[in-house]
Amino acid sequence: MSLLATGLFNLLNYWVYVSLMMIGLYAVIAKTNLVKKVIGLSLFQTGIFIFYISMGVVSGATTPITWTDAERLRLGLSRVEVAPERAAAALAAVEEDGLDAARAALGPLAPADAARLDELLARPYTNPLPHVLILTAIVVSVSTMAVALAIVMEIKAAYGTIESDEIVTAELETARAARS
Amino acid sequence: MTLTPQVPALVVLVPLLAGVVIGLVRHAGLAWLLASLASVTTFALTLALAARVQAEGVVIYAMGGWAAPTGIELRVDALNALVLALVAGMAAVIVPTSRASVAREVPADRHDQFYALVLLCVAGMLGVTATGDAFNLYVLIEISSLTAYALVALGRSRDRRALTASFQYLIMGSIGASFLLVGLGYLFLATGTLNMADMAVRLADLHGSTTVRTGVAFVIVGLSLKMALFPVHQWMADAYTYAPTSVTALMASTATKVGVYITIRFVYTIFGHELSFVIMPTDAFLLAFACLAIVVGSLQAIRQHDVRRLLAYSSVAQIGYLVLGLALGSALGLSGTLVHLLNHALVKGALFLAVGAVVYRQGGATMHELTGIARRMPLTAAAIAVGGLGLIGVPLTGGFVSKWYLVAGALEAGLWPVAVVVLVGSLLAVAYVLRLLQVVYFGEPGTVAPEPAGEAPASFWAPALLLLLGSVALGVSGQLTGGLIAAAAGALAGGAP
Amino acid sequence: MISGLNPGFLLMAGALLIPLLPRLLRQGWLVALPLLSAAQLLTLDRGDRGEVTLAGVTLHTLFVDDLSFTFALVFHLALLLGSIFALKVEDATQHVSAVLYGGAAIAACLARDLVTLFICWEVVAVASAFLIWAQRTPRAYQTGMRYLAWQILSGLLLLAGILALVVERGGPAKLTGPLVFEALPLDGAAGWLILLAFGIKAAFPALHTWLSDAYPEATPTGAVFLSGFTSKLAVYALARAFAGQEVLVYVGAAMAIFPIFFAVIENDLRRVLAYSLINQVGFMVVGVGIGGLGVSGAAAHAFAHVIYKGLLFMSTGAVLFRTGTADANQLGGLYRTMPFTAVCCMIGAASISAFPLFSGFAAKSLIMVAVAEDHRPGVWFLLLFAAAGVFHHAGIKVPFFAFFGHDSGKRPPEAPWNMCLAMGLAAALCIGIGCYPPVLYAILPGPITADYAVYTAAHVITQLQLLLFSALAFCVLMLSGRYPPELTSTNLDVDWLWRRPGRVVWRELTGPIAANFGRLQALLLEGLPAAVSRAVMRPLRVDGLAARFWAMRTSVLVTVVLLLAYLLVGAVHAAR
Repeated sequence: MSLLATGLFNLLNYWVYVSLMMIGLYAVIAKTNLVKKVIGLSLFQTGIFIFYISMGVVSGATTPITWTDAERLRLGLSRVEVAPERAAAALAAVEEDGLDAARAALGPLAPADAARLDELLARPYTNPLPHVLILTAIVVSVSTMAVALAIVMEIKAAYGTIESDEIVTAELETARAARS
Repeated sequence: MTLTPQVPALVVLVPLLAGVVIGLVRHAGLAWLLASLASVTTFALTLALAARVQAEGVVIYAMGGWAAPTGIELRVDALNALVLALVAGMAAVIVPTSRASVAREVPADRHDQFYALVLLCVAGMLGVTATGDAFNLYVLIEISSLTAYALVALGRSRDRRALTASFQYLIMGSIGASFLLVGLGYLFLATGTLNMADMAVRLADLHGSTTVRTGVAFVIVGLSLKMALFPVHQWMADAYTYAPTSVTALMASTATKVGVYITIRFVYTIFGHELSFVIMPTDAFLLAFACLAIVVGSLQAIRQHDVRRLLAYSSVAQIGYLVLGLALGSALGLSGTLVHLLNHALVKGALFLAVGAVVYRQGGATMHELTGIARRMPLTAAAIAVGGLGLIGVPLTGGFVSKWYLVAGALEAGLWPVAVVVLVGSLLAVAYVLRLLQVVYFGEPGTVAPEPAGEAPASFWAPALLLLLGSVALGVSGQLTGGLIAAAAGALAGGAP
Repeated sequence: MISGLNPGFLLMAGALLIPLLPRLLRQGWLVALPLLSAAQLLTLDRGDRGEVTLAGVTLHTLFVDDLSFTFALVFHLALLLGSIFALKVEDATQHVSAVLYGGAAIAACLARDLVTLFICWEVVAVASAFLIWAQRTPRAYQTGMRYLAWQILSGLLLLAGILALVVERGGPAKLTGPLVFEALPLDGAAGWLILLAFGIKAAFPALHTWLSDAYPEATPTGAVFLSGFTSKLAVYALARAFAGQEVLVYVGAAMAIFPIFFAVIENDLRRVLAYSLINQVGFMVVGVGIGGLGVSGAAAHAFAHVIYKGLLFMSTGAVLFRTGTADANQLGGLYRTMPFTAVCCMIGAASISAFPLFSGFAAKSLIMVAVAEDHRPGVWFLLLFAAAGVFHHAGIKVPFFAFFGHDSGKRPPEAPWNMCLAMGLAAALCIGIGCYPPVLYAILPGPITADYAVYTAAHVITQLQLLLFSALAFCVLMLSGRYPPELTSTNLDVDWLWRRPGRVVWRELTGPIAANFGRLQALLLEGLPAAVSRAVMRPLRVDGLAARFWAMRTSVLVTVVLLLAYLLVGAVHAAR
């Protein structure tokens, strides 16, 4: 049970993305309605977006924007137990002498807190590159949807239906008529 | 300011910007003129670029001045210089001569859109070929694909089935591209870079972790879809059948070829020999499906009544040859693939142009409409005949040279059955080509469809014969095949990125 | 003339001009072209020249020695005679393919290396098929396809043999010089593959069906060309590569014997000639198998044979041209209005039967002597029997049933002047060579010289006895009414052994895969009941029109399966 739980939660983002992809593919395969197929395709691609976005995550890290040392320290301090005066001293020190001096001014911390703070200061932000990539991919996806829906509209105009089985029937009748 | 250093970027930018401008002009004749100018200019640029690669070696261009790996770079070596020239060259031949065909098959108020889409599609393919950045590759693939879906759908005024064909193409194409995207995600996860050269270096150090292997699998399957490798080839048969004929001519000679190029790039340059062939069984996987493609594609081609569909299935088989050569993993096999790539592009382009002439005169391209056209349309018939012989791989055409390399490569690797498949494939090609030629030359005209009024305009057969001349030159001239291709194959087999 | 140019290439290039020329000019060109090419051949020196670089491979396209010269010369003669015979044919396609065909055969004879040979071999195959299709009937189309399938198979076997040879010699990397076309050993796959390739073209027993199947379906003029080149090219190739191979003696003897029975019961005179062609090639193959004098005999026989067999096909072609049929039971009594054709036909018949003073005698005697000198009495008697059979069916039957026999009442006019001219020239050659054999012996390869004495009492008497007894047998059978009647019938050859199962295999192979590929998918993946599926898919069989949506579904499914399979195989592969 615990193994299952570990597998489930540690790889949660993968489970989510694979599930979304599979749901999307199922819709593409099983739905006869062309718009639903397009929705399936969209879901499929959304799964991939989640995969990309989640891969950039660094646990405990900040958003990927430019931080000054002081801002980063302030964020770190808000996540640990520390006396206010020592925090103020550290903030003063960071303005003067940088992060290392501030860390010294802070004095000893509880081991868990120290680890968390050090990690935050060392890896300060999540990887922004996947986000940027996926921004582009979303644009691509939206364009695909647009083209797909445009074609579906044309199909509706040409066949009077967007159900694939009815279109097949219509084509069969055309073929039959052409032969006889 | 001199433009010379900017040539790699211009190769992509000229058709891209021209496409946007043409989309705005709203005048059929002007759109055609601009598109012709742009495609010819682009071809000239690719030739200049190829000359530069010949002289200087690999040309690297950092987009916007941002150096790789931060920025996106275009990276052109002997291999993609060749493919760039091929794509632009086909566009330069087909776009200017397409006017009569487009006038017949596409509604007049859509001509500006048509030419805009064609140029965007070409720009996308050129970008895909030139780029040195994996994610950029994905985006450009989607640009060329999205425009291709729309172009296929433009065939609807002739046959509404173009719409369903286009829809299918869209679904399959998007899934293929998405698989590629997932694969690139895994590779990015493992290496932390999207620059192809950079990625190649880092992948070599990873020795195939699970993440890398998953990425490879997604990329290869995604590319198989894009190349229309059997058994995921169905979209191509439909799209080629119902698209406007000049679109089919352009796509049949470029789109799948670019797909094959990307596959070569990934398998040889990015993954490298160890990851592709030792850690992952890419060779066995691709070989198996390539052989199936050759046999099944040819068998399906034999049974077709619509000649465009016949040619599309023949493309399925020909893609089998292309993939077979690259899956052999040897310089010999890869040379075969490259000669075949060039030759098949020329031959298929010419054949679809000739079929376009028949559509222009006869309104369709089934066996009925082709019956006995040789009497009234001798030049078109000649193009079909020579093109058909090129498909079979008759000596003196490039097809013979490439099949020679492929068979020799298979024998060198000790794969007798594969050599047999290549030969059997030729035999099946004989069957479908001669069935076609028999109808064209010996069918009694006027019995099943009215006899054509006369030869089609020169804008159909002249480019077709020109392309076939290229194919014959490829079959006859040792320098043409030997020089560039040996260089490209050597560089790849050495694994240099 | 042009140094180092293979005359065959000259012809092939010239063939491409034909469709561009107006009618009169074209006729002149058709006659001038073989003459030009022959002049080129005659000015060539013996030796190896004509290197051409093709796609990075250096080809040695020219090699003239006695053997190749003999065959190239007679092919020129055949092309010239055939072109004159076909001069008035309006269909440019036929002219182009005939000249291409002849040119390729000549080029193949003079080829120095195997790659050039293969290229010409394939051109021969494709160009000749057009001579059958040019008949423009569905039946001719089917026949042409079968014919071409065999020819292409032969080409593929040759290619496979060449590649196997490359591998046997250590792979492409170790290959330095050209792959010279020379004597090949029969000790590995390469030799046997190439032998089989030649064997198909030479119409070895059981591989011969394309010949008796296709030649009678060709156009009247096309059959003349067909009879000249393909099988004799194969004899040349055998003589070059496999001279003295024991196995050929037995194969050749079988070839000489078995067609006789088919020829006797056959009604279509052109098919009779096709069978007798196989029989004649059998003699040549025996000669090649013996080697030495036998090869000279084979070359001499091929030389004479091309001319008199061409003459026979021309005369039956003229009959077919004038009456629209070549069936024995519908002909007869034509000598009244086609006397010239009748005389020519009889000269051809006398030649093929090897009457003294006719060309067949001068040639066939050499083979018989070679067999006797090699101490093979069994083979000698078999060939003697075969020679008697030839006289029987080709020597008597063809002229008898066409021009004499029962009067069919047909009164066609004499053949056109160009046909008569071609037949007259061929007949003159037959008699000329027969009366003065040294002209032939002077050019032959092997130990034979111009002063070889062929008209010895023993030779002449043996042959005359043989012919008289054979004629006697024919008379007795005819008079007693026991001769197989001339009926419209279909005689089963080993064809059906190939065709029946071939058709079944073909149908089973292409049917399900090509037409029902989609149906198969539907059955497997969609779970539709078979009946529904069939009902739905039947209209789609033509080009799978509306199959798109389920094709899309299955394509997507297949994609996923592919991915999983590849991942799984990859994982297993990596684990090993």
